[in-house]
Amino acid sequence: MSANWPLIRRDYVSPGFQRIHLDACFPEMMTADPATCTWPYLRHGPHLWYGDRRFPGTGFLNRDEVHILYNTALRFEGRPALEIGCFMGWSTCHLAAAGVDLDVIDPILGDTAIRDSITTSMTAAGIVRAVRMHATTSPDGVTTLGRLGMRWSLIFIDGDHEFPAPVRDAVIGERYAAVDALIMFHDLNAPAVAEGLYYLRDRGWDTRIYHTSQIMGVAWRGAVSPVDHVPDRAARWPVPEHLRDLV
Amino acid sequence: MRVCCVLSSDAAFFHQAAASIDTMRQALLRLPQHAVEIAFVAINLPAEHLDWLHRNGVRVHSDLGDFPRFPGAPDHTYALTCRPYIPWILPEYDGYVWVDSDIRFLSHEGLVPYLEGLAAPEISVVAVQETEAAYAVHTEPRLAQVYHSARNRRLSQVYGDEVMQYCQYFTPFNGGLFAATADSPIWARYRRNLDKALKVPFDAMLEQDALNVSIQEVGDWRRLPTVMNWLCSLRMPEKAADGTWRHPDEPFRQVLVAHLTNSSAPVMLPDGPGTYYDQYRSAGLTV
Repeated sequence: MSANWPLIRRDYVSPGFQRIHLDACFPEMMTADPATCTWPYLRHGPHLWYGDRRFPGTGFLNRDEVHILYNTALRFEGRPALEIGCFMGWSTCHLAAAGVDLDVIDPILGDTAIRDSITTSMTAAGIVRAVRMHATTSPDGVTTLGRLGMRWSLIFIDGDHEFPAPVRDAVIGERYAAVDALIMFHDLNAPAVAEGLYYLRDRGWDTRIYHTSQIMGVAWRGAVSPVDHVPDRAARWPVPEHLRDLV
Repeated sequence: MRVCCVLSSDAAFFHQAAASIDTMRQALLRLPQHAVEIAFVAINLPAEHLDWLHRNGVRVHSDLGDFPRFPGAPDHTYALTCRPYIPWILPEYDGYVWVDSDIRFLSHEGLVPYLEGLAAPEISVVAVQETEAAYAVHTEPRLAQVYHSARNRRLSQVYGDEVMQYCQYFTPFNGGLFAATADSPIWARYRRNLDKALKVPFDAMLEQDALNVSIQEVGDWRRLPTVMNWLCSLRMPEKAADGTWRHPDEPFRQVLVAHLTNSSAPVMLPDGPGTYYDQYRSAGLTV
């Protein structure tokens, strides 16, 4: 554990956000010590890090981040949304709880036990009918749906974080995004993920960074806009060098 | 679809560029169904060269301030750094074909797959991979080692070990001849990756690396066979009795595009030392 942060972590939610608390829908959810994660791009900050006790070492969006996602999705209520990478369905439930019509793509959904667990969580959250799960990879799975005519207004990318996947997700997301659309990324602290946001910026999308533990990013075009977020002042998040051009 | 074939050179290489344009114009005469124009990024060309281009109906772009530059590199390297900016300096086209000045279209059929690739909207780029069993970099282990290890060093230096490890066993695409639509995602990534490469000491292959990293990132490439961009310094094609150029090991395959690579590099010829370009000229691959 980093010596720079207090041993007791806490949750944080930006002022002005509508709150949601779906923890009860995830009975295997736990707080974890980020020091147990070997991924080099996980930051050890003052906010609680959540995961699933069946899969130690892999985390969820934290409370701060999942509220950015949820409050963003509230602006897209009733519109089609796409999630690339869902892990145990934590972000999925927050997206769908905001009222979007959601397609979820993740090869992990081919694992029956995980799919059942996610379905149980979605049922508990009362959103299972708003979600279509696709056990496939991006970009091929996105292309398949796109060729069927799907166009998404909101796209959340939290899939494969390694080169070249994030840019490919951004490329395919842009291809099948609605005219008025917003694309959001988690884990911009990973340089390869940040390149996805750079791609959209370089294609003319407006972009913005959210200073959270793992750093989120958003790109938008047309008649949509991102939510405003007040970062935790106590956190004093440094901006990684690879994000300097986006700030 | 309006297509623009784009070349670039300085005065010292202009004879090559003019020869390339000549072969391209000959090819285009056989392809009247395609609306193709030729444009040129002129690197400090004298009036006589500019006049030649105008007389031959070639559009000229002379503002080198539109392009970045490798620190300390000579002016002729604008022919490398201008490439990702083609859609911005020539915005009125639907697609582009980049043509190195040392490219020779030996047949109009060599241009066709590049033009046809532009009609497929989901194709990000059309190019030839340098995967050809006949090339010296595949037949000579020491050359293969240099070819791959040098590229891996560059990739690691510019893009980091993760990118290098992903790309290290993948033979790159040649950047001397490629086609992409105006809206292809390749351009944005090509610009970004070239921008990263500008931060390290100049190497003539950095630009091709940037294109290749971009190709990996955006996917959806169309790979053409090597006879559509034959790298002559890695293996000379052979001339057949009917006047066509052929794959040296598989004579049933016609070489349709010759890439006169490493033209100024020294090579031992039958009558003494010369350059690859001397060899190409005496073989009849170029004027």
